[in-house]
Amino acid sequence: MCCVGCKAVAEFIAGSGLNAFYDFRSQPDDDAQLRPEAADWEQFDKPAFLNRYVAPSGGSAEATIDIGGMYCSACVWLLDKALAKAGGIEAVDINPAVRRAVIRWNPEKLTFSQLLDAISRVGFKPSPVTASQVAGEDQNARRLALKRLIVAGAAGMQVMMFAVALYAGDFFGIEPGIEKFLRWVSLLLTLPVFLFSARPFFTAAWRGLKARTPGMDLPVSIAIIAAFSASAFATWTNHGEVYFDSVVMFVFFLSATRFLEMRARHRSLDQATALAQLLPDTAVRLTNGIGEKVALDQLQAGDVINIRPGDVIPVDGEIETGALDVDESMLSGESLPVARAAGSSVFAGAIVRAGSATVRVTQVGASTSLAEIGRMIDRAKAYRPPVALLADRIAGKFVVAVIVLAAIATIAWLQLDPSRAFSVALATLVVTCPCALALATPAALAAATVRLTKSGVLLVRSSILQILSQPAVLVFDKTGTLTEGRPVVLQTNLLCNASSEDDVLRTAAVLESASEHVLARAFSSYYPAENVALSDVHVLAGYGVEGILAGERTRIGSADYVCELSAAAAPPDDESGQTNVYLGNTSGLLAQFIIGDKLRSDAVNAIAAIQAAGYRTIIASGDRESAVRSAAQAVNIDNWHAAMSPADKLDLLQQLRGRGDTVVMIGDGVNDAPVLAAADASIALDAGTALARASADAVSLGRRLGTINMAIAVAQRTRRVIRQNIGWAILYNVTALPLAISGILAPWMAAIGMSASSLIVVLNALRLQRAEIPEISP
Amino acid sequence: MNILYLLIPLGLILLACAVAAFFWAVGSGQFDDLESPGMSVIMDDDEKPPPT
Repeated sequence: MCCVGCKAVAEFIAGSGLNAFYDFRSQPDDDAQLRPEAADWEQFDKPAFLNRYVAPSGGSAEATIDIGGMYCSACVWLLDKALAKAGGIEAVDINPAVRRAVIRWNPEKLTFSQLLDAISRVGFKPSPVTASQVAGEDQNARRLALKRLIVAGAAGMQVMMFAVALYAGDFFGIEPGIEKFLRWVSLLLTLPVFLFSARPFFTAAWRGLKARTPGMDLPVSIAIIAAFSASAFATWTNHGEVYFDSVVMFVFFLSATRFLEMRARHRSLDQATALAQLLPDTAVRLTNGIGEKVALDQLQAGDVINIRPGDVIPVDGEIETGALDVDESMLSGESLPVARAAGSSVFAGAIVRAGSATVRVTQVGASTSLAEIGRMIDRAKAYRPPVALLADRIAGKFVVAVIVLAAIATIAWLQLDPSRAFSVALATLVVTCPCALALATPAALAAATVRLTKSGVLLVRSSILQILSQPAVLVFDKTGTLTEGRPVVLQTNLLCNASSEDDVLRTAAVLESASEHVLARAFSSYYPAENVALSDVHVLAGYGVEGILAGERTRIGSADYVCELSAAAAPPDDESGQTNVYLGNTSGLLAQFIIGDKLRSDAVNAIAAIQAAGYRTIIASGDRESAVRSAAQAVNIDNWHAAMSPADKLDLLQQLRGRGDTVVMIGDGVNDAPVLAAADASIALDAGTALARASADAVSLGRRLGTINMAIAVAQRTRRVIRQNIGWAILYNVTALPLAISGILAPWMAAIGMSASSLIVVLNALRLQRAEIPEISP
Repeated sequence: MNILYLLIPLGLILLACAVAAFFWAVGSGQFDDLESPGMSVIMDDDEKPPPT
């Protein structure tokens, strides 16, 4: 089950007596975290929030809300139904691609908090978006890129059509009037491509020149400008060859690659940005022990604020008194709340799950770590990586070399036979137009990007394909990468004869439902269908939960805490390195649960396949040694490192790279963010943090590790295709160049040769898109 | 072949219309989500099941 939408569908299937469906389905159950979490939305009815998120329009109100946990069309259906039931909704527009909904409703019938509650009750995580974020620079950029692409495509098809006519004319003869006309029409059609579609290349090249770091855009721009102006000149003077078709083809394919890359980049970061926005507007400042509500921007470093359960911490600070259980998932990707005691630091954006405290402010506003994350995400979005691929470097030098050669040939022919000089120069330029060479890589990358997106891998920077294609060292994080990253009950040991395993699990689930603690989530799937009366509940942070259940005072938690109730002797913890949780009542201990993190369902097979392909695997984890050892043994990785700090991981990486190894980091958490950035390439898993996603080269969606194998397989094929393409292009150019310079080759022959070589390259690349790659079975 | 002098410009006008229509479609957000609208036909809104 991937999401709550699927869950609703599953319930429908079960409710309709169609359970036989499950006998026939092809995919096993991935058992997501489906129980909605209770949340307090009432704060969103305060004017400060309403002003920020809700825009009044006529008699109704409108808000844009990011919907966390929405993955597929079933989710759209579910959300639609849930909202329809809420009443007072006027219009809903849901876009699952960016996981965002625009909702208009009647504020008299439905408050904003009720609306958010309705969304969260079916299991999604709503986070309202402010108006400034809605404006959507990304969306505009995407739309503009699509327009540029379609202009290049539409004009390209026409120009190609006329090009065929012109080539045929060269061969069979053509009326001079028609030939001239077709050339002028081609010029007219190429003009918008040149001025509109190709513009991003020119601006990028110009930026690169100004910054004195010319990138791949420079040779691309030179090629486009040279080819276009030479053709335009030939059209104007009605003398010599035109190759408008090459210009438009080239621009079209390059734009297509960049469009796909941009879409992947935006998709992987949209959700991340939304997360980084949800800070409260006010805080309770303590002055001499008296609390006073102040706006966030009035807080200064050194102030003391009061933090209560359910709050979002608005600043970076240090706990003075009290203790907190904070959910830092937004910052660290660690889905489990972390305990913070007096003296330790807390960060803006963390959500307080339990406890209260006073916090001394250390950083506010733009200097918080949350703001830093926001900036990093923005940088990652804007970042056009220098795709330092072989072909691009060659193409750049090649263009310069060709221009120089053409110039030399022209000068030489001016001495020999001035009347033929121009035609030779043009033939040289046309035949060697590095189209095939320049297309070799982008066409293959575009096809590979499409292929991987189909399999659930978003390429943020396609250069990762080159790195993954050769045997490298893959460094895996453990928690959330090899494992699911959330606790499950691995084993239940009954400590008395009176009850069954199911009974104790149910009892534990009922008790733990009162707790917000991390480990409590392990039991949520065992919650009984019928409601069980639980009374007199006490949650003792750090120890456990106590409550009266079926008339009996029962406790769950640490051994000492549970034994206190019956004065039984505390049993020793087992040696497995996992967490032990005990259940007991006044008459003694009932059961021991061993709780740990489960391996991803296909981890063993995926790692085995990666190793078989000749890649080395290493585990670098911040977790305890015992836990890492058992995971490493399970997936058969000999080289593992436990209890590593981020600095240790960086050291390990530098050590590996120092030995000349190519290092690919695969991880998900904040600890990994600097490491992800320091590796040669990195893959972030979907559950990962904003920061991890922002610094990763690829994001793997879904819950399987097999996507890594998929990426490797596609990368290897892409490499093969690129090599074939470059080999072909170089071979073609090397044979054609001397012929053109010596004047044997007529310009029209050069044009046919050039087009054919480009076509071969593109068709070869398209094979990647249909590549059949077996999936890794769980 | 003189008819080409008329037909090609006509073709270009049609092309311009097509591109303009596409620009309008992109601008009105029709290309922002290419997946879920295809599913919308199977999400029926019948509140009551038809009598059997």
